[in-house]
Amino acid sequence: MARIGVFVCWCGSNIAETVNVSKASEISGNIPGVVYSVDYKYMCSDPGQTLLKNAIKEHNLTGAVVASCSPRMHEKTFRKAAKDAGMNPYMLEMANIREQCSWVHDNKDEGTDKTIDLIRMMVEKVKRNHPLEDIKIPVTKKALVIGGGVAGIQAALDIAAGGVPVVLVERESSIGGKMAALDETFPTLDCSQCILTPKMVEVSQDPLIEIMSFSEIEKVEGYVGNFKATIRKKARYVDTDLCTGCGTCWLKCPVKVTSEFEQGLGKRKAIYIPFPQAIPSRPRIDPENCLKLTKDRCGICQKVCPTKAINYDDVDRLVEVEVGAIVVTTGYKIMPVSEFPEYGGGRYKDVVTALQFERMVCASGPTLGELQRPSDGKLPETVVFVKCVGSRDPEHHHSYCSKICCMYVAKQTMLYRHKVHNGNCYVFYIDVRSNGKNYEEFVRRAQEKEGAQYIRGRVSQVYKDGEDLVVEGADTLTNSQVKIKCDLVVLATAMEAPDGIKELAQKLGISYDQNGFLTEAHPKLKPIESSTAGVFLAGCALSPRDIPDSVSEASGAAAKVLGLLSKDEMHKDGVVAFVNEATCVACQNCIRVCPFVAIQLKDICNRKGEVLRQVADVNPGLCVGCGTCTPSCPSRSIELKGFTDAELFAEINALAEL
Amino acid sequence: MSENWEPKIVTFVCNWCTYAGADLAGTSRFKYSPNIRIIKTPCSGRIDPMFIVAAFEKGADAVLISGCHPGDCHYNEGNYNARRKFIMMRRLLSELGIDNERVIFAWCSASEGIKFARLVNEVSEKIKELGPFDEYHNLDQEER
Amino acid sequence: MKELIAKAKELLMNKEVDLLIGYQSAGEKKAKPLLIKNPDDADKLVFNEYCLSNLVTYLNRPDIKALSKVAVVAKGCDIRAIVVLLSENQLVREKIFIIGMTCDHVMSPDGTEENIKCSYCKVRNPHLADVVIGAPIDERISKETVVRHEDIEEFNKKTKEEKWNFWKEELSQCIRCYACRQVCPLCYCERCIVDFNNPQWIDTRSNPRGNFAWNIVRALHLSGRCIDCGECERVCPANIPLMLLNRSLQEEAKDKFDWEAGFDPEAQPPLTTFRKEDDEEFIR
Repeated sequence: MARIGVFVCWCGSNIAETVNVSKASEISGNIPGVVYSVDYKYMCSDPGQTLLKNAIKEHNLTGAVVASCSPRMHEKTFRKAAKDAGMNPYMLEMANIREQCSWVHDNKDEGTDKTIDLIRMMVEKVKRNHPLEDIKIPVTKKALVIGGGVAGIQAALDIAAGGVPVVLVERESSIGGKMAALDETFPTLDCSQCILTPKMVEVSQDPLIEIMSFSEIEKVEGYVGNFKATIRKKARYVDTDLCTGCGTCWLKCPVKVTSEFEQGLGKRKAIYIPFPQAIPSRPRIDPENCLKLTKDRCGICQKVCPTKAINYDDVDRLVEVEVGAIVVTTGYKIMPVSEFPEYGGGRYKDVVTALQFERMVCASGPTLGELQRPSDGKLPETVVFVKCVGSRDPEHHHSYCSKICCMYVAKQTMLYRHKVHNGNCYVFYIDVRSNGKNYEEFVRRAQEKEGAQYIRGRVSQVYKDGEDLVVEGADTLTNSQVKIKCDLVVLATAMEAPDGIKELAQKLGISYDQNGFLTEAHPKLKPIESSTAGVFLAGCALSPRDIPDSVSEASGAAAKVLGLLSKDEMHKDGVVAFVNEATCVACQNCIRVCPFVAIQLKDICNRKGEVLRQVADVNPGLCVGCGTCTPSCPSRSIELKGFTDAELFAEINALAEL
Repeated sequence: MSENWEPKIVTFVCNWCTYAGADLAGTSRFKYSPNIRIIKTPCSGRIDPMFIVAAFEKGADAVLISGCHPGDCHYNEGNYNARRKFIMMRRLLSELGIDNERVIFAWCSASEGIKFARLVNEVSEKIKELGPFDEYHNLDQEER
Repeated sequence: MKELIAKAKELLMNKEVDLLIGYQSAGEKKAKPLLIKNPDDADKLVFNEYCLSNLVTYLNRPDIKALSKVAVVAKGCDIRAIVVLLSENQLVREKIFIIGMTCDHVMSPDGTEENIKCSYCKVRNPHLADVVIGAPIDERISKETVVRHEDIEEFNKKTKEEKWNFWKEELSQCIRCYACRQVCPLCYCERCIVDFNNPQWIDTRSNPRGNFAWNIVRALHLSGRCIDCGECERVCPANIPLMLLNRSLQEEAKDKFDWEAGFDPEAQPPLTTFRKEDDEEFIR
């Protein structure tokens, strides 16, 4: 039998002025199941809580209703008090008679009547409530970081600094990402490699960080605290344990092919490291170009390798890792110039992307920093930069702003002028967006001190006139057409979501937007959480960002990971969905509507292990207790603890006596 | 209809937006009609259209259902799923001749205390005009 | 008919299926279901315009589900039910053999005129069948046609009060035999919501209040799913025009979600998904 206590709070005069609290308490005492009722000046005060605790013990209460302020205010307080007195906290409910009654009504009779109704509804609910337990989930104290650009590097370092082991998975053969290819960085003009490579070395030397380069995520199972990721270690044909990175193999390799790292402007060998500071400093063989692997000839690298590290029979291997949290830092790709034939992209060698320009001016680039235009090696005397190429262009390409182009174009004009002091450089722009620390000053410096000439307007076309390129566009400030003869055109093409991101998102059960960028759980308050608990996001995987933003998000994600993995088990509210396996017919409605991928099908087997039928199965670790599954189930085989149909109907039915 | 008849309005709200909005109406002391009874659910996605029928059976003259605005759902999608169910329920009720004015859907955010108060007052006024939902309440009695 | 019988014999003889569900004659202008395991019984099979019942409903029976493979004689309209059952994980495609019958029309239950549902049928030539029997028939309307039901248009001319009074009268005649549920190929729950008592959603006695609740929940649970076979209305002993409700919700699903049930087993059922731009003019 239910033994319920009702505690009516005056909240000083806040409630008592509009509600006859003693009458409410007295009438509540007559509700069937109520064995004790009282009114008290401040239920939330220490004496008020003591009153609640004592009553629970003295009257052997099975449930309690505190009629006072909003549960948003004090539900935790009273449930904790109930727990301290030995009652299951979920057996206490609050009737909101302040925010939703006394404060919004004037008439005391009406306020009192409504209060009694609200108490009656909650008494009836409490009668049907079940004691619930918090969900405890053990956690694996290890993290997975996907993507080894600067964001992934920072996340891995910060997580490791917190004492948690990290597996850092990188799809390319070296970590470093796009930042490793940059020359100097805005707004300080410090050399990108000078600031990045020490971090890369730090990663490689940290005993808590395991780098899996040239590897990709094959499959992710499990849930927050308990993920199991299968990682495909792609065939490298080089045993990274035996290899010392001495470089003999790539020096002797006779095959030269276009280098991806050099953005197509330089060459590499068929066995190669992408750039000299690569981490791990272990080469891989490119099986599409290696003579041994394609034609069974050559084999020089194996012959010259002093440690016998070359293995032409290497195959992909699958490795499983168990982790408690995942950080996704998969970065971006840049749109190639070939998407912009109107700007000569793909037609003229001297129309390049900004990333190609970085390699052209970089001291470690293919020309060792000597600026030469790709077609004939001539020093460009006039360069035209075009911004918003593919960005902010909803009719043809992307509607979003790529965010970093304004800044790197300003930087590149400076890099150019530092190389070619008398050179002319022009920038076509729509706006200049320089909202970052010292960013505006930096752009002003480019314009005012370093001689970049900014022309506000779009470029209509780029064509060739003899050896020169001609850029035709509008100057919307002087309302005139401009034609500029130049040697080199740099297109600030849009940042795009990288290839394979959708497939990865599906493996992780996280969502992505129409542009393929990953979606945050809340744009303002959960900007680095994904919709899946335990999966965090940072950097350009979310949308275009600059280095400082990517790095700070990575540190933020690392803090989230460390917080999550700081305890041996996670505790979670007991309000989760549960399935009646006897009646579930596995129609999958609940699975389809669950926004958190918390429900799966489960086989019910007989003793021989033969599948008899399937039922829905809730993973309490993933369930957040929204209850969307419940109305979707025609046979009500899935319900939400704490908000069951019986509990909600009890509230509705209590109204019959209104 | 007796002169001092007051409509009974059963209100189902989500915890994160509308319940908080109703709280804000309280903290802001926006007065509204005392004839609503709020039943809290975690999310509008938890609200079963059949609750409407249950409420009518128990004497409700109107049912008000409110959750987060699209895009605001604490659980990302619950309100979108709910919206489809409500679309179907509305059509069905209207086929049955049940006045759609008695089943009110609204989005009300945690910051819209004033909207909540106005909504309750508007609904309450409207139902006073329509009178008690005797057709439903008396379904069985007429048989006897 | 010969082709059907031959195919049935072949399937049963070669043990390709354990059971075959088809139609047999039930007297003049009447047909009834026939469940056979023996190839010799195949001679009893008939197919004609009196083959009204949707045999797909048998596929939900646990004893039939337990068989390794079952053949079912199905018109295009019946196959729509199979499609829904497939999309809701109730059937395993490999375990059923669909003998699709081309069909111009069937007759109304009283056998006097063409069944109303046939006037807007889009699957005279069955989709998804393993074998199609019968000559191809010209479709009268295309897949893209948005069907408008005259009876609903007519019904919607009524005032609220007229509608209410209409249904009060109709539903007061319901005897709660649940034949509508039992015959429905899509009512496959092992425990129906009407059989709940904690909480009791629906008064189980046959009274107007319970009848309203029952018929509301039935229509709701079929919304976005009903494939318009009309079996519920055909078997109703009180002749309640149940399809009026079902068809209204079919129209609503088409108008609001661009959805017609029973054509694509891969598509996400409309009430388990959403579009951000779904109608919300009615939401304040």
